[in-house]
Amino acid sequence: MAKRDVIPHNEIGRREYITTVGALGMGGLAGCAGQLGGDEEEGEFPSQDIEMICPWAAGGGTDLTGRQIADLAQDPLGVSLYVTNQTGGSGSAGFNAIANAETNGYTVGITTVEICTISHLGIADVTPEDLGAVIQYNFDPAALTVPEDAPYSTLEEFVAYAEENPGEIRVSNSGTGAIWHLSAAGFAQQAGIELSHVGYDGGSPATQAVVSGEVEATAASAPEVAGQVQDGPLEILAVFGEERLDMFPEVPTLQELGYDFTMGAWRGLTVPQGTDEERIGTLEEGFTSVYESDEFQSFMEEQGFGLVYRDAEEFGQFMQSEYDRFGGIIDELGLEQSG
Amino acid sequence: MPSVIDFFAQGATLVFEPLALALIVVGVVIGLTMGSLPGMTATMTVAVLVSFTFGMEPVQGMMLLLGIYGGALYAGSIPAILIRTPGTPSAAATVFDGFPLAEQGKAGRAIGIATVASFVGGVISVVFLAVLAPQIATVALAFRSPENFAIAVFGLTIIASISGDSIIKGLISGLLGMFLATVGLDPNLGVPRFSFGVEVLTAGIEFIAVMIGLFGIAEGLARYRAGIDTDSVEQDLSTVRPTLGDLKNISNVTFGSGVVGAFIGAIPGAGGDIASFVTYNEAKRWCSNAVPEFGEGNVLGVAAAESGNNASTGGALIPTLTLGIPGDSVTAILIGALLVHGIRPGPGLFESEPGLVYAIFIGFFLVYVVILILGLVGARYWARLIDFPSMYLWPVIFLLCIVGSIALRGNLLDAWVMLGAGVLGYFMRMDDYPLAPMVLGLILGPIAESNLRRSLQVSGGSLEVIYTSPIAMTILLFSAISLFLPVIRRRIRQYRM
Amino acid sequence: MVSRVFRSDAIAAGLLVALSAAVFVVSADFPTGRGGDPGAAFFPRLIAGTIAILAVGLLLKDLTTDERAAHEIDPTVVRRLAVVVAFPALYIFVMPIVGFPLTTVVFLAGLMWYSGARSIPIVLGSSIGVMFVLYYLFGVLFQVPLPDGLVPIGDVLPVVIPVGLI
Repeated sequence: MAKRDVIPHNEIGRREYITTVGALGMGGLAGCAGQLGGDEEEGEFPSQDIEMICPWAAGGGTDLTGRQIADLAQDPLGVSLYVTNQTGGSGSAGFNAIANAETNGYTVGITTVEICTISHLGIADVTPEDLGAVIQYNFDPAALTVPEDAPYSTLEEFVAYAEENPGEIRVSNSGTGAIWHLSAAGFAQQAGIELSHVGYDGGSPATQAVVSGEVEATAASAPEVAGQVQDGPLEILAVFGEERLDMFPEVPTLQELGYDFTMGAWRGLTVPQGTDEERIGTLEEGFTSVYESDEFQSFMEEQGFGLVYRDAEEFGQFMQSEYDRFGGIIDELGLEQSG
Repeated sequence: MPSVIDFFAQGATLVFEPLALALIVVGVVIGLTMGSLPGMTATMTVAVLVSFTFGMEPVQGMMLLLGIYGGALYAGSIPAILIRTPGTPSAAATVFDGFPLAEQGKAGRAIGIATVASFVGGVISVVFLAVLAPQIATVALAFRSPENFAIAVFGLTIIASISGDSIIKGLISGLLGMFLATVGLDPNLGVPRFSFGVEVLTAGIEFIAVMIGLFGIAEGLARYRAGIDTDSVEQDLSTVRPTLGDLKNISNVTFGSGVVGAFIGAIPGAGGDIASFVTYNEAKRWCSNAVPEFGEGNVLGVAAAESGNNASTGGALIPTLTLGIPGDSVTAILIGALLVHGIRPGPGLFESEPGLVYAIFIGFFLVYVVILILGLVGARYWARLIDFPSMYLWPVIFLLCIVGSIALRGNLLDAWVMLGAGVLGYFMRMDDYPLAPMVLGLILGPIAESNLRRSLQVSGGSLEVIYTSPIAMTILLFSAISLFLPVIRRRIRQYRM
Repeated sequence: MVSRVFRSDAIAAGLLVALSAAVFVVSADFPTGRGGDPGAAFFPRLIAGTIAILAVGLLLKDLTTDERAAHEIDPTVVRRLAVVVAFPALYIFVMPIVGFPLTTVVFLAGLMWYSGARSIPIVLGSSIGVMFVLYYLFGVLFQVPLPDGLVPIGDVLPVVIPVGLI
């Protein structure tokens, strides 16, 4: 079990860590690390390496953005940051590890929208209340995507078709209970239409399913379907964000089309609940300057990750309101199960 | 209008410069090292090192990552042959004949064959990638849930042929693996099954941890049972480089497995593990009269498995580059590495970045050339590893099994699962239950279940969706043949005797 | 003293039937599927049912054959295996508390000694060497959470300096 009380974060030891993006190879071994950690409760914060727990597998979007932040945050925070992947249970293993970490500010969690859904889904007990917000750095709206040759080419026509043929439109998603499933289901609720949701094992098979014609539509993040939209047979009817995407400026948002509904995946940074406010403030300041750096902004744009920022206070409130909102949606969907 | 030759020239100028070539070698060496450690998969190695490539030119970064990818997939075979523990899941089928060869003192020969087969399989897949990518991508895209279900069933029928003497015990082992894989979240409904309210169990049982335990720890316990201080088999190192006879012998199987492996790799969601099981089974069926029998140290088995799993690498790149849909988890990370440079794989890639695409073809070919050279040079030394006295070797292997399973996802529970699987595996071995079917069940059970249930959900509960698919029915027909053929053949043999 | 246990197939069959019965009981309240999906209990029950049938087959075979599967139980072997399993079990248990460096060296040296290695320099040297290699490979390069524990190895070890190639 990945809880921090099982593998206690070592307070004396200081794990060395290979730094620098774009550097390769281990050239040589040199001197000592110096700077014994000592008792970090006193004096300057931060004075030792910061661990960033990623609840998702290495190589995924959360891991990728987290590692980028870890690299860039060394400068403003003045210490090394390293990412550990503690995965499994739809993120619950990692969220629990964050929640149970020591509240000294040296463990930061890369936190995703699932913190607001998994307890409603009966997967785990961990909720936003177990965490303290630092900043939000990303939001990727859902994109409702259909084949170009479908009998509907606008969202209005899609909704009209679904009203005439309830349950006939099958919408693929990256997994049952995953954010893209909830987004499609939440929109169907809002629009008063009936869709059939089909869960796949990840975003790539879900996209393939709509290309191959096994299903009629897919709900995913825009970058996941971009390859098939830009030059391929798919088109996006609407994005579920507040603003249009830079990548697809011609695609309208749901709000423009008259549906007061936004949903998508977001990522942020958190610490265990009960961490000292002053230390959260230091972290918030450091990570905010990372967020504002040109390097981070251009990295996110290249990867197609949406840039949305909330400070500690706003992010905390946002998580709470998302938590309540997902509770309602999952309730109505009948997805909630007891363990 | 520039021709294909121009594109190749363009790609070649990008690859044939000192840094890119050096990165290929560095990548292969990293891949070899990591892939040969149980628990360190190709995916994990590529994922952790991908950020190093962000500061490089796109082609240079791809050379490093492709080197790791090919190197790690090949190197999984080394511990599979030497200590009966596959370094990566893709090498699980290599154990069947690779380890018996090592027991006969022919570890060097087995590694040599594995190296040549990996090279051939890899090169075949690169050729497919370069020549037939768009066509193969179209066919692979026709694989919907019913077809994927059929592929998984096809894989599961292999249990019959790898079960040795007792088919009943083999089936029980495979079914137990499939059952273990149902622990955790239901694939279609997202509800926990058999987790008994224990939160960590909702994450499911990590099959790589089970695999490491089943093979590594169980083998170690069997050694300790026999007495660890007994001498190890002396390895014959005179035949590390495959002989002309060996090469002639394996050529058909290696080529066939390469083609099949490349195709399976091209199906999104099917990777090297399934590819090697399928090609192993097919080879066994093609060469039913092979001496020695498959499973008792036939080089054909090693060649088929290794050619198949390495061919899946180029195969996986096909949908990745042509459609922007990753063929496996490593290629998903490669897409991310390209995105950093503003390059988006998809149908337009061949027009917008022909130089890069052809550089990838050429570079991936060179990766396999480097693997061939390093593999053949290194085989002699790796084979010596098991000449290491057992009393030093096995404690280190046990430690690697533990640390490797913790490394999977930073979870101590996986180390306990690994150890538990090891003890279970030991008892099963002692009672003549084959262990490979269990791994097969763990890998393929969830694929079979989720695709069958998804097929039925999409069709509204009608099995028509399966029997009206010509592809699915063809594969299921092959499954039936491969399930009953070993039984029928055994009957005939018994009858003759 | 060597005792003998007969009919391991019968015992295994009993355990397997019990397992499948348990699967049927536990899966009774699994939710049904949507659309044509046969639901969460379908596949586990299919597996468990097949296991039960095969287990009965195993039992019948055991009852009808003359050569019953028999296993010798040799107390010295049992003791040896118990010790060998206890080593990794203790390692997994103790490592988070005492830390990776110390536990690893003690584990390796201890198991090597138990396995019959008697050269102290080789045992200690190889144990410490392997520990360092794994510490760098897993702990430093791949950032697997391997706690330092009682030995603050991270402060003492040389830092790996990255050298930019570009």
